[in-house]
Amino acid sequence: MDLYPFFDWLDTSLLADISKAYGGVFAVVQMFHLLGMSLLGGMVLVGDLRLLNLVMKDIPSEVVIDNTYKWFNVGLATMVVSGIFMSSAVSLKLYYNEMFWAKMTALAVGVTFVYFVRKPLLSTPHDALRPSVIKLTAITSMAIWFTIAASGRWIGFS
Amino acid sequence: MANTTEVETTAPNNRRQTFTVLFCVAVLGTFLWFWGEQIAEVIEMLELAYGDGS
Repeated sequence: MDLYPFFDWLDTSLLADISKAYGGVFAVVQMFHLLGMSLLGGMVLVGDLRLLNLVMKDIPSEVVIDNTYKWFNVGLATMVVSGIFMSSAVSLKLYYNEMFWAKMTALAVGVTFVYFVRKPLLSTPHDALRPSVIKLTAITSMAIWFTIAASGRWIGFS
Repeated sequence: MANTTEVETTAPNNRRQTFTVLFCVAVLGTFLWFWGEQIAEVIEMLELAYGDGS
């Protein structure tokens, strides 16, 4: 499926006009993107480090995981909305950028992993799960979100 | 009766855990290959720019 028409449309959309013409607006949206990133990254780290038994050992891991999901969702939604706005400024450049597609693929894997693998698995009592599976889930989760963040930064240098 | 209930509750759990392990191994394997390629490319560029040190 060729997504070029979408990127072409985005390049000439109202969003692109605003993001290209008003640097201040772009900067504020970028700030929200970074805020969402820190929120999401923080929730991922807190949850996964708890699963690895490295932090907050006195709080049951089920409680920690349940409390991180809500703010993870807020962080992800903030990043997606602000990310679409930011990409409108350079949409055609991004379309031809290999690292952008690496990031989008990793993001799709990350979202699939969170909602269809990690969440259903961890919704059962953690005592009923093999510790090795819990640890593998935590390591994979951190690897996915590290790849998304790193490939996102790499876009600017490729 | 207790044993039957245990079997019923752990069977989906086992399937879910097996699926999770397969998913994780596939993702981690792909990432290892991906980052290996990126790092190899960077090393190649550094060698082109600065030589291989010999």
